[in-house]
Amino acid sequence: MSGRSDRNHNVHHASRYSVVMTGEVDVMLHSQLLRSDGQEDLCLAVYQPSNGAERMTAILADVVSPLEGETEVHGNVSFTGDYVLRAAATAARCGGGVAILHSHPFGSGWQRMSQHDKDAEASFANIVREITGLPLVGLTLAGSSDTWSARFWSRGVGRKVAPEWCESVRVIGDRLAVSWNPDLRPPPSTGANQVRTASCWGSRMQADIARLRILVVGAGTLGMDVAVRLAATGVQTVGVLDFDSAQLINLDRLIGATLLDVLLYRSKLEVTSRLLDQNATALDFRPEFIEGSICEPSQLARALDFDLIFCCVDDHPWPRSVINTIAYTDLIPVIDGGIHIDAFADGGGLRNATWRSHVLRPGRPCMACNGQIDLGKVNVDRAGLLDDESYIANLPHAEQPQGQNVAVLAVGATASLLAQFVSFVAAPAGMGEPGPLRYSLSTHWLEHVEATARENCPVEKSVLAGDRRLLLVGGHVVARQNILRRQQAASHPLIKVARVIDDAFSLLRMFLTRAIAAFQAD
Amino acid sequence: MPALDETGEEGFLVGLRRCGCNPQKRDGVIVFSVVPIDGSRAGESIETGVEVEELAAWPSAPPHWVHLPTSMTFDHSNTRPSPIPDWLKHSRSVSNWGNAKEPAQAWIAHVRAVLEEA
Repeated sequence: MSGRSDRNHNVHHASRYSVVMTGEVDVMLHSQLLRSDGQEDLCLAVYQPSNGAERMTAILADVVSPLEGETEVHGNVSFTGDYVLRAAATAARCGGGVAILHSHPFGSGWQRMSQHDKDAEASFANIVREITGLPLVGLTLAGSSDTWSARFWSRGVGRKVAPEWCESVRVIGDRLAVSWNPDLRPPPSTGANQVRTASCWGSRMQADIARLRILVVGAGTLGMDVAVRLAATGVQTVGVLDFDSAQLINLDRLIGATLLDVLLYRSKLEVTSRLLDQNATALDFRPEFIEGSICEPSQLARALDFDLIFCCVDDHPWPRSVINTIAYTDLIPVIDGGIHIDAFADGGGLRNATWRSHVLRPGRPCMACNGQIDLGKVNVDRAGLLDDESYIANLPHAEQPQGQNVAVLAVGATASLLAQFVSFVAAPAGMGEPGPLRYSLSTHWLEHVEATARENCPVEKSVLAGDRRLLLVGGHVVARQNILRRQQAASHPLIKVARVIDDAFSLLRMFLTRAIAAFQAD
Repeated sequence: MPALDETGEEGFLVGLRRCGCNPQKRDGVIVFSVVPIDGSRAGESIETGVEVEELAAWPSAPPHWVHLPTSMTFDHSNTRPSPIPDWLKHSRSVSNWGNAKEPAQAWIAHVRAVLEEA
């Protein structure tokens, strides 16, 4: 379902809901809501909306602490209308909405609402929506398990106002901690083909990882490999976004793509789709393939529906700048990295190869601060000039794009990205993601890159902006031309017939697998 | 909350005015004057411009093209026609972008450096 804006409110008619906050806000809320005397407590916060194609997310931005007399703790907690109105006015001034948060100090797991909770939130849902144009968001913190639960009061009006439950509440710190709504996102069972994986980090962690919606942007050398390994690990929803074709020049690195794929004008998405089907271990595997560019508004909206993004885009600054920005504005952490081969200009050998990996999130330097994107080249890429041979030919040699890559080393970069992923989601030994890393092949040296956020970085200044983000999006001519060229080439009758035969072989293989599995089960 | 108020074309104009420039819009280009400190044109007030279309994500993404009258010549320059008659736009990426307290001042400094090559 596509999101649409309501005429009277900025209420996005989403089919899925979520809340996200930084680790810093999470710590602040814990200290506000979990009292030493074990009584419930309450506070309000301002959130910024982030609307994807299907999901609406509330990004908790600022805690509005109660003034003297605005809350009263008596085992339970009560609060005044003035407190709500003050928070709503604050939210309206910055285009945000209001979240009401309370604790169940001895609760464990995802919390439902008592009648008292429902009455309290419902009584303010309409007025808050009238003032801010956004639905009231309710959150409950279960003190015993550190679990959040949340709902949007977006259904109905007046006395018929009702909540839509969120599927998750995400906390983005040095690790990604997600509270899952077991009704909407039940833990998947671990299949016999995942026993070794689950034994690494336990079935609970396996269920947490499996439920993450992970998008891989760029299905090239790194991205295709990353997507396949996520599917093999048991992740239920792996999204892949790309517009490019499998070409002869890719075959020395695109492990899994074949000469037949090139001859049949297969897109990298089609190749990835086949590989994911062959390697996925989740019983309920739901891949999503998005053909296009993340620079296009509709594809960006789909990207905002994911919990985590792998940036496997090549050196093009425009798409990288878009991905870089939403890590901060929309709190969708990005695992980025790549490989640089340093070959002697005369073709006489290999000087060095380095690969880097890093997680982009508030608290860590963005791509620009980490030297992984040149913001000065975003507009020239947007104009399509970095794909324009006549423009490139006029550039000084040092500024011309370099294309060296090699399969035996690219896997090192892939491994580095995936190691960042495991640290970020599973936190081995309690250690979250390590910050930017760089491996140098010539010196065999793995180092922490001492990059920090620059004081005036325009990207990091826009943190938690949500839908107020400033992004350079629009029609991506190069992407559309690429897709059109491939479609035209693949429309030749001979290619069409060959594709049908090739697809039939794939289907036959799938049918054989299922038939023999059923026979052996009997 | 994030400082999102000085962005895009309007943010660029506000910044230029704060730096003492008097920007005008001409044929879809924001035109203003810069005085190079060094080079053959040092001390001379020279008109330059930035296409409005390139300011969509200012200051996160700075413009790429420096618009100049055709009277400004360079030994080597990757050029395209400018919307302003008798002007050209020159391909000049600004390097190390993204840490200026006043982004408009950083852009002016970039243009000055370009003009010093003329």
